[in-house]
Amino acid sequence: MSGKEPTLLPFFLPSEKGNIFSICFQPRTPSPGKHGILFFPPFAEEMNKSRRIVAEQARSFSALGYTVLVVDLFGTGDSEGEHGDADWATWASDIRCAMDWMRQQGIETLYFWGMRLGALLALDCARRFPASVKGILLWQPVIKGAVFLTQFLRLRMAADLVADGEKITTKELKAQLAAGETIEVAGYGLSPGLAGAIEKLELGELLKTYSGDLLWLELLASEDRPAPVAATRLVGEMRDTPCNITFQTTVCESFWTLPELVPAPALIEHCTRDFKKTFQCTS
Amino acid sequence: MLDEVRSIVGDALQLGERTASLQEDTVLLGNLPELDSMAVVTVITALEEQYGFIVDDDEISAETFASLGSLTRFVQEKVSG
Repeated sequence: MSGKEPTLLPFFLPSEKGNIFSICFQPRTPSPGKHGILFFPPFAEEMNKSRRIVAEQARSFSALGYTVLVVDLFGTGDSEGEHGDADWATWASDIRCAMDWMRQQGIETLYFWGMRLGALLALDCARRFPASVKGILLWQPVIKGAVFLTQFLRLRMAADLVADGEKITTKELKAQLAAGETIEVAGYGLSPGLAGAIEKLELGELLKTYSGDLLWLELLASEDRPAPVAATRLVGEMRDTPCNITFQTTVCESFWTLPELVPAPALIEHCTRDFKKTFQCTS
Repeated sequence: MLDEVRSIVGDALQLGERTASLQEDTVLLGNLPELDSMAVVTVITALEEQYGFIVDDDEISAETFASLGSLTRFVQEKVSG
């Protein structure tokens, strides 16, 4: 079963606000458990920089017999809609449509795989659609939406800095959002609704709403780096809650921020192995 | 601290072996093509996470990123201030 290339099925999935571009990695030999994995993408440019590695991981999963679905949420990638019209609730309904599609394909055991901001969407959807997911895999989850939003808004300031012009501050951008304006950062439109939703997200609060198995994979730049304090602290705080977290680290450069392609064989190998072990899937 | 700041810049810009060649007076902004807006944000974020301070936009200017030395002095002031 391993080493067999999956069939790639690209298609447009009708969703609430428009058609969303999806790619299904269909295994040559589906697992007896009819396992499916639904991917929740990172935000904006992070997704573009992650596509290749996400596809590699999806292939690795499908070699085990799992069906993997990777979607471009409304307003992103090749999906319909403008980024400035995207909002969190629409994205949750995109996921709902994706889940229904997978079920129609015969998937009986569903896992969520969320990366960066997508990790928060995955947990939020597990909360919105309870008892529908067997386990959750997180790659480098965003811990505080407010911090993440500030880092994203900073791209505007940084672009002005590099271009040696008048720089607009994140404070000014937040004021524009508060006044109801959709702003533009690094080529991406950002509406007040979406910014507001992101700002309120906290990984800790979302983890408390989940009482299943969760595999948290934190990627470190090199072997001698420690895991980020915020991550290990949060895992510790969750110890006595119903959320059953397995925390693993692996060495991998932060490809979602880097301009050059990064090879990630260790990540793929570890992730696939840890996924199988944590969720005790029999292929 | 210069060494730590050097590694952070080296990582963010994926300089690899070239990281070691960055000196205190090495010009960064305008000299390193890898230092684009994304890299500026990556460096600021990494410094915040490493040293535990928060950087306000008003504190950053082109001068901050003029050289490895100026960036290190900025970090020193944030840490002690």
